[in-house]
Amino acid sequence: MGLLSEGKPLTWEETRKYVELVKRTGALQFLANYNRLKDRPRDELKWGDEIEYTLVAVDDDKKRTQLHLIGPDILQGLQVPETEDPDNHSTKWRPEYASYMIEGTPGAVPYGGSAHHLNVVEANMTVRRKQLQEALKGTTTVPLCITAFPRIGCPSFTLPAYPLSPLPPASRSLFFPDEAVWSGHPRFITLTRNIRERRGEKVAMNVPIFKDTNTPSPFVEKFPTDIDGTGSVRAKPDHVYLDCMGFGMGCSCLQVTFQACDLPEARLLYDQLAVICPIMLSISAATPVVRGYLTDMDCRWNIVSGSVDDRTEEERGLKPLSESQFAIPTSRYDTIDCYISSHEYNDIPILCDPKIFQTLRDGGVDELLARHVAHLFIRDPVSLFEEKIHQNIEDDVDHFENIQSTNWQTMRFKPPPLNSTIGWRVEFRPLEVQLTDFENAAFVVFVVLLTRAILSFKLNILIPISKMQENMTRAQKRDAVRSEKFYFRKSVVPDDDKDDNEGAEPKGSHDHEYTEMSVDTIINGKDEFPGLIPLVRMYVNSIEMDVDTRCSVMQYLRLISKRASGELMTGARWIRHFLTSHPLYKQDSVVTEEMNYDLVKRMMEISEGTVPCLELTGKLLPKSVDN
Amino acid sequence: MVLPVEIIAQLYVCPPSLSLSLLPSALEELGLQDVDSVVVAFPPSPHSPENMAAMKEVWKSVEQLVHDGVTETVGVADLMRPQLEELLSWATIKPMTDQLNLAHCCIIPQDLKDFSKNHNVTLNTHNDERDILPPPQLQALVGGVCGNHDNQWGYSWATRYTSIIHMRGIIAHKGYLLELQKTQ
Repeated sequence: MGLLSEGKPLTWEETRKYVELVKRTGALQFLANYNRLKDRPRDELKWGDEIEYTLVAVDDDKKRTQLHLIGPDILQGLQVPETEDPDNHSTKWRPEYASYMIEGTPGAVPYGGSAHHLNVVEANMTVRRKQLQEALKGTTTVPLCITAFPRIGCPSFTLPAYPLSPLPPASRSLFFPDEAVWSGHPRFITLTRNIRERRGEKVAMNVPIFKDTNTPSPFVEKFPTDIDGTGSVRAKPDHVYLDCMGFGMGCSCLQVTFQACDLPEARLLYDQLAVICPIMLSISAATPVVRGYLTDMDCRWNIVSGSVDDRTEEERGLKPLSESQFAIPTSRYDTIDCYISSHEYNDIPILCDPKIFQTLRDGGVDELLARHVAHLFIRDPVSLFEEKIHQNIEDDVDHFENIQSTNWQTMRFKPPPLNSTIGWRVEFRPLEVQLTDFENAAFVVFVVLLTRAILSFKLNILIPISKMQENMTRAQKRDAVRSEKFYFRKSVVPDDDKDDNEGAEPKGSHDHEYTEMSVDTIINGKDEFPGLIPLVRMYVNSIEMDVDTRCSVMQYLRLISKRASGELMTGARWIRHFLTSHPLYKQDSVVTEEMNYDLVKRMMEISEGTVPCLELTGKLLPKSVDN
Repeated sequence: MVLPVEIIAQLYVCPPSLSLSLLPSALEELGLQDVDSVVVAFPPSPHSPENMAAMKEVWKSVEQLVHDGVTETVGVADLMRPQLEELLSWATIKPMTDQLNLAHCCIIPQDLKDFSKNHNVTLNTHNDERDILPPPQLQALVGGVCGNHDNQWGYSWATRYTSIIHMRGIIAHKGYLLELQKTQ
């Protein structure tokens, strides 16, 4: 999850002395890099996926599952192929926030513009899963692609288990021990502590509980270990209360990164894909349970957002500004706030660091991009290493990356790294991770093909950014894919755009361009609206593709299409269904240890393909090959 | 620097009119001088000596396209193993690809798979109808353009062409070319 600098981490008290230095240097580092690379000649398409795996220990005797804090112990072994052959290895492994997590990506060579690569993704994911299984041999631990472990934060949810009294020094959580945070690198625990310290108190997230027939009303929890008394004060009735970074950053997701052919294409893809983020989040939804309770939400997003919300009371608008510079409406983990290819649809105020904005403008950066960067820089650095304080502007980018990599937004716009052949990239970040390699490959391939369709057919799917943000709120609700409507552009194909403005709308308004649609309509089309899947199919029909790749791609598109129509279940709906029809379920929203054990066992069968799940994936004819 | 473009032309021939002599100039008119591959779709017909003889005649014109530098390589569409095997036995210039309708892409007969693999013919997919422009549509289309619905038209060949920006997977151009004949 971002930049991993080595060295001695500073506390928030120490870090705050260098805030201005880091920001000023970081902005200048961006500027130098920008001016060096803004006219970089045309690059090829390259792309790759990232999956975060959860390591779950299964105890068949006790019918119990726990998150196994074994990540740091197996990381080095997994990295051997990469270390031994830096130019030719099939997988890469990286630490993640928690010691029960690990991140895997394809190896040395990213995927490219050849259609055949679309058929390598799934096979590579399977290789990763096998490598993890191999690394865990001799334990009863399995790697699972789950967004959130249902009983995260319940008593003894980690292996080994750790006491929470006295409260853990970094997070002060009533539920999540500091020992569960990745122990192999100081960045993660430093972030945990510094975010809390900067905020001035623990983070607090309240997820609405799913009210079943036997759920107490109002639902009010008593916390036996409420040592600091925060539980009784901050927990809202009828909500599941969470109180630390681990509940959010301890979730897993699926990401896709693209190399654009040049800077303008990267900006265009960043904007267009930002509109798709909420829609794809709702289709990928996989988080209906947290801390052992069924909730009324299906996604991790708002939990993660709250879990790293380092804003002070003043910044959150609870107190008049005196020490803080701005009142900031959102957490540093949220949707994007401004488009960068055109200002036309930026309809909300964009907070900027004015000095940085001016520096960038004076240095030759156009207004839109300068505003984007200066907006990222309203956030302070929250993780800084003593050895990295004083940096060169031309030869370092750490301070820029420091701010950039702790702005966790739906999309990330990534300048080329220093001294590298890599070009301008964008990262697509909203997706919840899916149980099987097939589903994860399907989401990745769909997004890749959608970018090709957008560029080939010059599609325009922009809507005012405030509407995209509203979509993000709707996308997370229970079964949003079937029950919610989303703002979407009525006409996405350029030639259809002729009916713009019949004189009724005031100048500059875009209200006539969009309407509310179901996910089914957006993805599969209805009446005049073509639908994203038919557009992607039209693209696929126009390019050369070998039969095996085509067979896989057809199945991937079918999965997305049927998830959107509701014919196939989202992960969230399936988990909900499994738990609420479990014989031990008492209609009280509670997911017990044994119910969770049965769920995990079923998830294992599905993800290993031994007993597939027709409700989730339909019938499959896998054809993927690895070469 | 502009990345090279890969141009594929999918050619639908309608015997008995076997001459492709107008194709090169039509492609040139569209700026498509360096076609990478021409894929030939023969009219659907059972595997018989007569039909193979007709195919042979067409193939001579196709080979001429390579000799004349119109296209780099050639391919075929919708051939099952017997036709493909026979074509390979006498063709001077061999097809590099066999494009199959995607309705079949998950259920390719094993004998075709093995044969094509052994003879370096890549099995690709297409999603065109067997007759890409059936008579009623053709009639309506030509009538609409000419403003005259009295004549009957047929095509001797039709081409769907696509140019893809190499290594970026982006479609730069896509269109159709036809050689029309008055049938009455």
